[in-house]
Amino acid sequence: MDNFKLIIVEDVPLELKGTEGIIRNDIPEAEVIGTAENEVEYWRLIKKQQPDLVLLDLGLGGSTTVGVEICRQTKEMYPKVKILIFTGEILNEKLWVDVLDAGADGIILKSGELLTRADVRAVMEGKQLVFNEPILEKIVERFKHAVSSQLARQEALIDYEIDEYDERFLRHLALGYTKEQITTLRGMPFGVKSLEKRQNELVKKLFSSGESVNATRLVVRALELHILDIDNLMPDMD
Amino acid sequence: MWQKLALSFSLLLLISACSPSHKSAVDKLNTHSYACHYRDVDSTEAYARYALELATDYADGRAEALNNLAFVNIVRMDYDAAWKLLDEAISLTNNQVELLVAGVQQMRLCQRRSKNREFYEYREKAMDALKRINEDRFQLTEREQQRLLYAESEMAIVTSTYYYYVGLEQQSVEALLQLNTDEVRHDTAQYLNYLYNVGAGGILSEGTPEQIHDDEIDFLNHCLTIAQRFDYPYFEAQAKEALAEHTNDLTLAQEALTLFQRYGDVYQIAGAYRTLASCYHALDDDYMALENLQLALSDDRIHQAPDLVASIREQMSVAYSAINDKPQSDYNRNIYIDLQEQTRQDRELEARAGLLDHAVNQLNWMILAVIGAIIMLVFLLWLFNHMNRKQKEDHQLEDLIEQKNEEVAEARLRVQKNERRHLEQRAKVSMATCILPLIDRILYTIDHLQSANDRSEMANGQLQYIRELTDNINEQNDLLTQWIKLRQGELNLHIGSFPLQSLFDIVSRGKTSFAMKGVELSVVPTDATVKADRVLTLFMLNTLADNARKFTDKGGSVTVSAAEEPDYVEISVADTGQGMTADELAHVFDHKAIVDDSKQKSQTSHGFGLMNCKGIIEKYRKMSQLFSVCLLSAESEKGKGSRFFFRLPKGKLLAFGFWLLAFGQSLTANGQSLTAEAMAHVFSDSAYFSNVNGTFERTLQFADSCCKYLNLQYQSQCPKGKLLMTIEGDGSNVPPEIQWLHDSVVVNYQIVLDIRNESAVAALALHQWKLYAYNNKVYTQLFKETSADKTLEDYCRMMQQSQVNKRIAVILLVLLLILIVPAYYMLYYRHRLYERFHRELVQQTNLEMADDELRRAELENSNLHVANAVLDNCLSTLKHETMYYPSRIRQLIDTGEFASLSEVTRYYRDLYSMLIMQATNQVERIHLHLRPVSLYGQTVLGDDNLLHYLFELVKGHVTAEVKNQQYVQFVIESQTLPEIDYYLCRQIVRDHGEATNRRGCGITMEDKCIKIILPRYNGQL
Repeated sequence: MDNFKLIIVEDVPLELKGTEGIIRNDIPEAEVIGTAENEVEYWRLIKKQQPDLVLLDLGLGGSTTVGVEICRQTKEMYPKVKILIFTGEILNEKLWVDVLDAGADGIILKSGELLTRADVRAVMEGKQLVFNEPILEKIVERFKHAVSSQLARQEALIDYEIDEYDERFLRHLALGYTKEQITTLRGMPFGVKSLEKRQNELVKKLFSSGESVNATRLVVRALELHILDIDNLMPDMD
Repeated sequence: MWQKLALSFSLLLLISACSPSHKSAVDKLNTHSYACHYRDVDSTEAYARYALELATDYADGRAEALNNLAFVNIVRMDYDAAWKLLDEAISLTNNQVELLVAGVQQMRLCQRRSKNREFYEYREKAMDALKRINEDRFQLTEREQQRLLYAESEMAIVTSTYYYYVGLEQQSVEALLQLNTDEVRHDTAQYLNYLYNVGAGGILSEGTPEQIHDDEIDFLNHCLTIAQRFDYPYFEAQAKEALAEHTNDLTLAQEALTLFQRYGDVYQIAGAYRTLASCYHALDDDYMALENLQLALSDDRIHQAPDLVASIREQMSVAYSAINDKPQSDYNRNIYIDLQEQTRQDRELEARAGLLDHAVNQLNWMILAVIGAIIMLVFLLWLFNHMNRKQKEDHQLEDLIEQKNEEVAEARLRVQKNERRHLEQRAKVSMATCILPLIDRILYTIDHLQSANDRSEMANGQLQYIRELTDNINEQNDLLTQWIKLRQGELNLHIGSFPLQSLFDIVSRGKTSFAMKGVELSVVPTDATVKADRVLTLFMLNTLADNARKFTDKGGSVTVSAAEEPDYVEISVADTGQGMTADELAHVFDHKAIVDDSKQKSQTSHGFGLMNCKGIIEKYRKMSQLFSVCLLSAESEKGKGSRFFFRLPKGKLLAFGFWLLAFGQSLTANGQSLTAEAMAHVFSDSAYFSNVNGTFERTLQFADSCCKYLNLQYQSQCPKGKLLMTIEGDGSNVPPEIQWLHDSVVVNYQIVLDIRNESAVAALALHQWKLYAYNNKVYTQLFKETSADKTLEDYCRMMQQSQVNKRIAVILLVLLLILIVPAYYMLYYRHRLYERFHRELVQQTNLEMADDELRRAELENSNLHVANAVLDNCLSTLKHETMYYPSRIRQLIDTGEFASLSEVTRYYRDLYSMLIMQATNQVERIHLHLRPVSLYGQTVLGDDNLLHYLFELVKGHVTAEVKNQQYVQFVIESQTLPEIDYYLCRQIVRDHGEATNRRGCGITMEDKCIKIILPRYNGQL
């Protein structure tokens, strides 16, 4: 890892002290060209001398999230400057997404291992999406969940013997189409009578007990069983 | 005949054995009395009186006896007594036959007294009775049939006589000839009466005058024969008198007089004298005639019969003229003419008009009454409506809604408070969260310390770092602890409307403590209602009153009063105490100024109570716009006393207003006017003056000329008319002017009358008896006919029409009255009900909405309350459970026990993060209510309540500007915030940034300048 210039943005003096300690001990290649405890100071520093990396705390002074804005503006003004978020917001997932959108190169939570040499090197070597342990755990967890619901859908289609027409019929029902409208869809060979018959069969398939079920309940059941993907409810393309 | 009656009576007696004890006896006596009618007046009276005495419980019998007595009184010309008796008889019985008899006798009385109008009224009543009798005539007993026969025949005769006297000969004839002579024969007296009346003249009209004369004498002779055979002295006398009149037979007249005198009929005695006089006149013995006429007038009682007197006076005038006593003749003629004026003409129409008037009057009253009832009903309906509206609408639902709205407002207030409290909790949580990275730092440092495991300079620095971290954590913990403690026991306001007097009553109970200090406390009663916290208001009142007492010396007074203003109620406590200087007054609510060593200790307490009062008022003002009128102030003058006063908003009062409606009613009256054409009457005037001058021959010439002009006028209207006036007619035909009148020829009949009168006077003076008789007759007849009010007929017709109209009106009005209620219901009330139903439905919906709103507010409130309570719990747990560790860690470092350091710190970290996670979970459940909020000229997207709270915390001059399109920056110059307030503000700003995803939000406090950046509202939520 080559030597590089670093600016640390941190409003809590004690934390700054700790962070400086870590860098001094573990990352001797870093040359701290300045520290800022608020936005104004940061802009003043970066104008004076452009760093290679900014270690940015999201919460500064009266705001917990102003770092997102700082990140975005820095990336706009100095696209070559790398930004590593170093934050105590260990629970605010929404904020992570926001700051990634703002162009941050990685997020390190002030928890567990804190800032490691490996993480800083990864960023400096041009890696994007550098996360430390706690964030990665969360990401994997979310990924698993998403994939498993995909799997559930496929299984549902097979389990309940849902064919292409059934799926389209249910999807358009969910989108508020009437049966008459559905019959006019391209590649829909059925008339209203057939669709009604199909609906009755679907009810029999999706509901174990012989209860009376309306279209809404049927569609909701299809959503519950992942036959329909709520994130992907689109009418057929014409 | 009366023996026969007695026989039939005894038969009747046998049949009706079960009638009242004296009925038969009374009937028998009455029969006797009746039989004596035209025989012996005294016997008639005696029987009748006996019957009257006996018939104590037999009303019909009594009535009959009274009728008989009345007959006696009529004969004796005691008409007033007769009238009373008849009235009594009528009031006694319901027997229509006796009522008829009484009615007929009343007719007779009216006829005799020339009360022509009344005659018709009683005739009308008699006809009514007859009509009722005819309805079930066959049910009458034999005796009643007899009485009815008498009554009917008497009625016909009286009517005929009446018509005869008023000169309506045709009607007179018709009335008499309608009698069934075959039936009348059964009652000999009445048959005689009939025969006499026919014979007396004026009834028979067929044949030549000579034939008529002969026929009349036949009738009279027949009457005389029967009367003598059955011993009816009265009719014997009548017949003889009538015969005497026909034949001028002095002897017959004398006999008639004697018979009448014996019988005792005053009227007929006078009549007999008059007949005697006319006989003498016919024999040219006018002195004897005069003597007899004076005898006829000698009994004063006959003045009750004007017609009789008039005929006597007329004869006297003739007689005096015959003896050439002109002044006496004129005198008597004037009396005669005056009496004519009095007794003139038939009053049938007048009577009918009177009856109609009466009926119409009654109808008018009925119409009025019905209209009154309608108005009353309408008024009542209106009133009912009004009350209904007041009660049903205003009071129930609207009150309920208002009450509900108040509850909602109150609940919202509580929500607002809880939201602010929750904000505080969030601020505490985020403060606590800030500690977590510090703990992580400690842990990290310790981990690296262990790996290094030496005591180098670097290690010392690390240890020092840990110490600093623990110190920092401790500091923040202390702050949190302090904060938690601070907010305990916050003041809560319970706002409500209440009458001020209830508080005044409590204050006035403290009079004793004032009296003990020698200060008089007077509380002015009030009926003001205020909206405030009752307990706090009492607290303020007591504080001010206590202060006043403290600063008032013995002998002074303290007055508590309230003044109602449009928007608020001002409650003042005034004293006559020491007062304050302007400087003192300026700082009276500022506690610093009060702590003045130079003052007595008791007086320093002044400020503390006032400070609380000021705080309460501030609290009100902060609470709601409603309390913007709240104020606490004082005015004072050194040495004279002070007045402390505070203002509270007015409470709700319900006011009622009652309306009264006045109804006016006006009546319309009918007016009639008649105009008559005037004609030149030179000749009639000339005739009059000629008579005055005594040139009677000339008078007749003038009269002749006058007749000629009148004839000309007649001929101009009826060119072919042959009925021409002459000075002396033949007497057999109807006089021409009478015919004119009947044919409605327009001439001035007053002139005709005048000329006939003057001719008669002239003829009298000239002893031309036939000329006199003709002119006098024409004059009298014309007078009677013309003096009839012509308009009366029209009037009657009109009245009848009006009566019919009014009857219809009454019926219509009654229908209207009946229809008003259903119509009201159908046309109005139904709609009102419908409308009200709808309005109530709307109100019901409103009420339900308000209910939902209340439930929502309460739900939010309870959610917040629970969250707050849980957070309280979390935070105090966090505080209690973890407070110990920072110091412990520090201790371990200080004592060098590194072995357990890592373990303790790790435990501390896990515990802390677990507890803080719990608190954060609570925090995440609460969302801000984002909406556009106007602040200092800019629109901010945020939570109204919290933003206002934010600017309540940062008081001062605020400038606002747009920054980056996305944000609004508020700058507050020269202002610093207490640490906790700053945390609260920061929390608000953070929450807004978080909720709107505007990451640039923030608050900075540098160099006494606060900068707040909030999300700007740019047209979308």
